[in-house]
Amino acid sequence: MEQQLAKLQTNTIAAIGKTKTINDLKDLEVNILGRKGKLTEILKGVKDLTAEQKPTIGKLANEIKTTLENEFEQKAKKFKLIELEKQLLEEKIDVTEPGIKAAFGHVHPLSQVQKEVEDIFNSMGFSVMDGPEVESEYYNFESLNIPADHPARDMQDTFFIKQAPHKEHGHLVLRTHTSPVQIRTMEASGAPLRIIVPGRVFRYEATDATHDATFDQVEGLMIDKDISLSHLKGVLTEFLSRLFDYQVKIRFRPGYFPFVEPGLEVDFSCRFCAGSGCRVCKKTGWIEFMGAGMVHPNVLKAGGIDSEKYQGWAFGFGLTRLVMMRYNINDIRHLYNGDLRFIKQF
Amino acid sequence: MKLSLNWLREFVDFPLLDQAHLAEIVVGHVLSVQKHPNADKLNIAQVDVGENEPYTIVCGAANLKKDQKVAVALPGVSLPGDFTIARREIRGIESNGMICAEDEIGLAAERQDGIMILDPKLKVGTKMNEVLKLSGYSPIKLGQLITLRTAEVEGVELHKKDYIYDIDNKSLTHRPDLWGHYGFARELAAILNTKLLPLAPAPKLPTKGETMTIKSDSKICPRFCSLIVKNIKIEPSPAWLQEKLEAVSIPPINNIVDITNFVMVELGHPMHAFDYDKAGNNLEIRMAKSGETLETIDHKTRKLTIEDPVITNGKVVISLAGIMGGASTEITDSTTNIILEAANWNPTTIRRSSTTHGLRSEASQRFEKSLDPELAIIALKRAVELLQDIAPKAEIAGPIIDIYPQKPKQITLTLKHQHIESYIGAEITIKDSQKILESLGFKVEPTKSDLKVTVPTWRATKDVTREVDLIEEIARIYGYDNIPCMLPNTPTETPITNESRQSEHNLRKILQGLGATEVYNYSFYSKTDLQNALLDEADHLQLENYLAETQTHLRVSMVPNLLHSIHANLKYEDNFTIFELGRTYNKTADFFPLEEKKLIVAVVNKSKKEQQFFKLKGIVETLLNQYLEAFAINPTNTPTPTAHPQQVATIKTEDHEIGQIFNLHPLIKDNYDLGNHSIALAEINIGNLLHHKKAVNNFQELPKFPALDFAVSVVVDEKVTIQELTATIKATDKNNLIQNLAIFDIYRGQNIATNKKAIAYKIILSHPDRTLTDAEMTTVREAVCDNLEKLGGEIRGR
Repeated sequence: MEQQLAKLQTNTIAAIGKTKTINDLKDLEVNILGRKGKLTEILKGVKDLTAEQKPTIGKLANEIKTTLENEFEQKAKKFKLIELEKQLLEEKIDVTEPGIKAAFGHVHPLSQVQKEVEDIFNSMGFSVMDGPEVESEYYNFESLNIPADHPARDMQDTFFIKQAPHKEHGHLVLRTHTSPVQIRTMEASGAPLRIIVPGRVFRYEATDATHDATFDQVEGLMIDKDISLSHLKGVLTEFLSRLFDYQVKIRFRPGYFPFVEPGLEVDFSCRFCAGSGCRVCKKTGWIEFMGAGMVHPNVLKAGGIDSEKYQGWAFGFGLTRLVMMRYNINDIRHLYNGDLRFIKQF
Repeated sequence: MKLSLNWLREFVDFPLLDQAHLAEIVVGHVLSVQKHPNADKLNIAQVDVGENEPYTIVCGAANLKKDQKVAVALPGVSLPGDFTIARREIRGIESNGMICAEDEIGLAAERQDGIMILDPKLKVGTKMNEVLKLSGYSPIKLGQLITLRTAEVEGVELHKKDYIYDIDNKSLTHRPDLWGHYGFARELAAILNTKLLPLAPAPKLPTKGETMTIKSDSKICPRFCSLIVKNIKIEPSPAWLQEKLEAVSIPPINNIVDITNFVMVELGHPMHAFDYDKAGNNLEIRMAKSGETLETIDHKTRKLTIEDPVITNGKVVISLAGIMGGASTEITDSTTNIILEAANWNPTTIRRSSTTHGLRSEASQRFEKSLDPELAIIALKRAVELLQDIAPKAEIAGPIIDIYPQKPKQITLTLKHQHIESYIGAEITIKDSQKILESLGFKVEPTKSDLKVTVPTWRATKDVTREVDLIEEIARIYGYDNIPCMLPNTPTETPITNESRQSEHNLRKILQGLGATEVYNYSFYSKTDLQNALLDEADHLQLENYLAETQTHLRVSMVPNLLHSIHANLKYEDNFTIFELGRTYNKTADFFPLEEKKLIVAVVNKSKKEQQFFKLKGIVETLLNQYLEAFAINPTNTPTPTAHPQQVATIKTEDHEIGQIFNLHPLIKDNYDLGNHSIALAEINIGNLLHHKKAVNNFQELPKFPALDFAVSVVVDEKVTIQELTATIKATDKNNLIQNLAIFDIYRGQNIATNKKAIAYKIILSHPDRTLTDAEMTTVREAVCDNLEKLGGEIRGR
């Protein structure tokens, strides 16, 4: 019987190895280990054994049963794995089909750059200020040291509002620059001051690809006891270097704006050619970028600040132009016409 | 304005490096010389000029040998004779430059036999001007210096043997002294630290002779200098004078007109010449009377007003003073006797008049800058000097008539040394400051630590009146480029955050996340627009001057311009959500209008059938939840004019309306050609919203006991609003067990009568301290159903 059992084990293991399907395996298992299977068949002979033989054979039979059950299980696992692989293969999806669109819009490039500018200045201790877009001649001109009949009024062609003028304020105009907010902030807060004023301004000028009657500016103002032109250089270099993410050089040259003295034009080193001269900077290596200067004592006076105690500088640049430069936009009118094909690029 | 370098150099002396090309020619080392395969007399040289790779240059010189140091002109370099080196193929071999002979680079007049051979010790790459130890300022460098120290040079051009600078007039707005060559020569002398030659014309003039009666008005004309000249033959100017004018783009006309223009270009002071026989010797300077007219020399007849300064011959106007002369007294070929005039005019008067007539002449743009009255007499004398030179037969008929009732006061300022350094932020000694000011013509008297400065007449009219104006002079000549770069100390307090601005940026991000795209539109629209959008013109501010008929009124509503955006975008998109942040401007009883920050959001669907209102309502609710603890969206009896009056809701915070959500009024849809589309809009006044700080919530304990829920479906009349239904359900909840109720279905159509709707609620109950029993739930359900039935509802399945 020992031999019979050993043979059954050997033959069964060989048979398991040969099975091709899970069903063959199951049939084989029933055939060998089932209630009417070959093992049961062999063990029927146990009753004819001696009392001595019985425990030995019983133990052997159990061992063989465990071994075979294990073999069947292993083989079944293999079949399941094959089955799974087959199933996985069938479940293949085309991942190149388009994603289901999540709703997500776009923030206008002017707003994006404005935020960057505000964040940089904020980190340097500047507050962001606002003021009216419909201004009086007083705030837009007189208080900024541009009296009536001053030739500088030509530099800023102005939209006038149809409304009777005010005794002290003059006509109502669309602000031609963000500078009136300098005076309004001085009046409200006094010195010292560190502010920037991003905002919409208007010029009565024919429009073309680079000039629009509506555009956005950023004004900066810093007033304290010992603020000098060298600080202006420092702050502007820091600002532009952080904005453009490279070490920008800046250049001052004389310029004229009635509300500052000395008055400056500020250029920065061309980022496209690193100063060696290219089409963007018209071969000069410099890009003309803003007007600036030390705040004129008359302006401080208009804002109620004692120019004997306090001094400082102001600057102004075109946010719209900065956006055009950053993204290489060739026509300013794209920025104000609401065309989604344009805005969705940002 | 054009400036001639040669003309400038008549007044200021400095070394000029006009062979600017020498700065571009470099020393090269000949590494090898090979025969050209296709040409007997040519060689191919490899030349090292100090760059990464040597240059291949084809050369025909017999004296070229390996290891020589030579002068190399690389492609792009311009040589005398208007010849630019280019990369080119010579008999099949590409040549990248030229090895030069002395004559080719202007160092020898004669044709040379071979190339120029340089000292073998020279370093490759050295520029030839350095090799030849030529120093001086190149015309380009001078232009840069003028830009950095004085005024913007927009271009430098070679004109015959001269260089012409184009100065940006805008940068001279505040400088009455810079409208001619002499003023710029003075600047150059200061910049280059060299001497300015004096200009003091002193022609021989008679002390007696023919004179005129001139009635002047010093308010209009602070100074009037004139002179009678007889026996003049009008003819072309000599060639040298014509060439000088042409160099600065002034067309020569005849000897007399050319002299007046010459003086203007040289000294910056405009002049005028009258035909004496036509003008007569009785002149009057006054403001015009209304009704008077004048034909100016451009042959336009101009109606004059009391704002126009004029010169008359005692009867009629013969000149629009300081702006343009009259045709009747113009110099013609038959003129023989003239009046030469050099007058100083009131800048404000000139500016007003020239603006009214739209006539900005060379003269008016100078006078409006406040010219120095001292210059008038110098200009007249200079003109006489020139006249005596080019028309020696002309007879000066009498002495100069100089009407100059009041000399302007001299300006003396105190300049504190400490102010100079504190303003500029650089160490500049008091001595250097003094030197700079003196080089510009200021008289300086040092006191202990300060300077007492007298402003020269040519800067005293308007330009330099305060201490800061002197600091500017020092700063620019010292050189803005020499000012160090420093960061100010950081303030101890953090900056005031502008809540509103930050909120605006957040709001954009939220809307972006909700699928909306931001657009910008202009702040104005047309009268047609406001009519098409059913707005009231009376609320609007109007522009006095406008650029286009589409931009005449300032917007009181964000709707019209956004509708244009929507219309344009419907060409490319079927459904989209856009928003704009901007201001509206409402006329009020006050002088200043009411400016409000507005947000407009539009949900657009190409199909008319797609109701967009509730999609937009969802967006608005999500957005406002980020800002407000509480708000309500309710029906309204006062819809905004752009709204469909039956499809509009008001958005209210505790105390006031902040905006409305609506479908666009069907009439407006048609007016904007949007009738076939569905458009929902929300216009919200965000001014207050952005300032509002949402309160910090206290944490609420999470429920410890399980919740029970049940569903109720009720069929009601369309007239019953959801608001009423929900209120009814809530009213039944006496024990405060309803934790949440939500609509999960709204149904109209089959199996439901017309004018009725079926609303399905899911109601969730819970108790904070115990588990609810089924019986308790049944009680609530019964109560809810009873109340809904009382409202006229029919409970489905009851």
